[in-house]
Amino acid sequence: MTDMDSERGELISALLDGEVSAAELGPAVEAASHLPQGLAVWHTYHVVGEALRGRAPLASGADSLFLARLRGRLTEEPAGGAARPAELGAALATGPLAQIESANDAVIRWKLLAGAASLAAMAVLGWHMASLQAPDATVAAAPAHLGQSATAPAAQPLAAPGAALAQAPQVMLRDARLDALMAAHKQYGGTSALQMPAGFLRNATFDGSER
Amino acid sequence: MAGTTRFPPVPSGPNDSDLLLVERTLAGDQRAFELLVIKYQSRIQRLIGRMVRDVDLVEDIAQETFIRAYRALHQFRGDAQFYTWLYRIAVNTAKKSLMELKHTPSVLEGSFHSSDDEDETSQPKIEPTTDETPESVLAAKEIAGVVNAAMEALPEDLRQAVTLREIEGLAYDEIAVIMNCPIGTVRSRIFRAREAISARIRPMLENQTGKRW
Amino acid sequence: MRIHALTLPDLRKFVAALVGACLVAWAAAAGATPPAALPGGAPAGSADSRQSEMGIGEWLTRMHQASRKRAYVGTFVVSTGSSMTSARIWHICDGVQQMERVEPLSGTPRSTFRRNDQVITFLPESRTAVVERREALGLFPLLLTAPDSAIAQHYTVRLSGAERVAGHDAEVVMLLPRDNMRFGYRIWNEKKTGLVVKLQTLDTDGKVIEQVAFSELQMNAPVSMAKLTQMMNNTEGYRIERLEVEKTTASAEGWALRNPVAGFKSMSCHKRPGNPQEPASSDRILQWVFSDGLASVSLFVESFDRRRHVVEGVSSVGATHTLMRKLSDKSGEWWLTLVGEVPLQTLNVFSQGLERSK
Repeated sequence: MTDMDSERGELISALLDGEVSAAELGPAVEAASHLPQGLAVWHTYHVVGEALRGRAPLASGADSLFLARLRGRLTEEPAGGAARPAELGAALATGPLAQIESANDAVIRWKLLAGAASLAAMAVLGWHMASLQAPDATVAAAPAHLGQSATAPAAQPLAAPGAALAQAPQVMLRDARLDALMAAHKQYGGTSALQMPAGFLRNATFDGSER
Repeated sequence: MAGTTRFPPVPSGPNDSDLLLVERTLAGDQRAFELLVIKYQSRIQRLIGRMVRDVDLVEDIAQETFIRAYRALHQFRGDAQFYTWLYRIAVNTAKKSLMELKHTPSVLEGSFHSSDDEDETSQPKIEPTTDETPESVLAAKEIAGVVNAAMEALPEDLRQAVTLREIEGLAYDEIAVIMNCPIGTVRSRIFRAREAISARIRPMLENQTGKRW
Repeated sequence: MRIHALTLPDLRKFVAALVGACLVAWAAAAGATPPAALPGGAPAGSADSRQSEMGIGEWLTRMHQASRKRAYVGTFVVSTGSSMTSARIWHICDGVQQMERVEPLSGTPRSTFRRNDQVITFLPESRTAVVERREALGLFPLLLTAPDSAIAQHYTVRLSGAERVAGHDAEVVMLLPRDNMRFGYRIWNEKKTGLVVKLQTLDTDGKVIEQVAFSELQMNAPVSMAKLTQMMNNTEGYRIERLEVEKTTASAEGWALRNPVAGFKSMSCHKRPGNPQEPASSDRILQWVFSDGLASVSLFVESFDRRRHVVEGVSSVGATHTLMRKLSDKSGEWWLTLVGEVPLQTLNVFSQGLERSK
């Protein structure tokens, strides 16, 4: 590769991941299609990805002749058939990634398994955020004497609660099975020199029980 | 951290460019489709190569596959993987061609259902097919070796970013939370990692059969 | 007070003596004597000789000298960045038996009693009492079984000043990991008894992601063991549920961990009910626990169920991260849930290393 500037390189990289904005899509495709370097970069980045995932990167398949031949035939075709981009766009907008809520502390990331059940199933699943998020537990207002005294120690501040967390609809339907696993971890996972009293105490406050 | 044997990861799913490129193609930009072609050409040819022995025929069928995909693109619904859809077109195109040409002896019926590298339960493997020579298979293994070595040499933040993206399949916003940095930084790190690794394998690619642009 | 440099065998003897000890506590030098000089020779496993660092040997010595007869009552608070929960605790140890009662001050009402390794949790709303035996409590299994002191290999220990917590003078100790695969800890020990009065878990950037701290603490409280025993045994009107777990081994179940994360050793393996509402059913899930001495990771494995196992994902609450994913193999399909107080990448490495061995 010769003088591909970083900006376009980064666009190509982001395009590969599907992480370009609508406004960037055009310039990204332009950058990646730019002969000859863009296509080479696009191709090489894919080779890298395949190699990282343990697939055979058949670099020999990178064939300008194949593409040139195909391109000629494509231009003879009517443009992309009777496109219905509106439907496609709708499908993208309601996809599972649209439901990611991110918060500073409690982060949920979803990935659908290939061939997974319909999106309806996703609405039923949720993550139980332990007793710390129990629906009937109020965030305890810090008692005046909480952990501090007249000689206020310079305690390390806790990571600030994500503002998004307060607003994000943390509609977690509780998953009793996962609750039980997390409780089990806290019980048996307490194989630590620090468990007394802190670990056991964490165990005992973990509200995994659910009926 | 990037092992060479791992359980096959979930296909990258929504976290890749396929749907964007399909949409862009339907909006009239043929170049977007060409990017898809470059991405999938090897895999499609490898797939067809398992069904058909004749090397020239493999390329013809591959061309035909992409033409048909282009024509039928508006029928692709975004709820399935693009590659799965393309795969089926490739298999059907191959079957049709073989029947027309009456090349039955070289057809391995079982291979229509054979596992290829997309099969979740198969270990990724490097195996010779009709369009590979032993030399190119060896070269592929060498490339993998260089890529892994390049990964080791990366600064930690670049390595972590590209690992989370390419191997764990996480989206940029997810990586941003894990690495506690802005999304723009994630994007930059992944690019720089790719660029650093690419620099090492580029000379190897240029020596491959099949020209570079 | 003289501190002797400890060799590894000495380390293990010390630790063996601590089994059955009431408190995993740290004793400061008694009274007002200044902190003891650092041991002349660092114990094997601790390579650092910086003046502000303390050898693991000294740390264990302090624990060994902790007073064994203690009683206290207090309120403690568990905080993550997003919320807090608090509970009341009663504790007593007479040198032979150790008893505790914990009652959360929010959430589903319940009362947990512990006598040594026996635990019973009363749930008044459902009139249920869950009985279980928690083997892990009160032990230092890793320190006992590890051929080397894994804690020293993977963490550094450093005194870090003094502060007051809940009205008590405390010494602050930093336990910082030597790599990015685990979290660090800042620990406040009450000066006279060595009791842990505050504990912070720090992520790889040094940010506090979880904190457990006493907000009120009364030492030498008049806690009556007889009274606690009486309350613990009073199950009248409650339906008793026994949470049965079967001990097993990973290899017996056909699992192995390739490329384990440095320092994490297998601690235990057992099968437990998969469905908490039906603890007696044959729906079992395997739990394989690892620990590096401070942090622990549980690998839960069950058969893949297409109806329930739809979404792979990760989540975190405070220091606890969870990762769920499918594992496909020639022998079948499985569902993994990994839970641990470790960085996400550590769970990733664990999940990639799990494989069928038969």
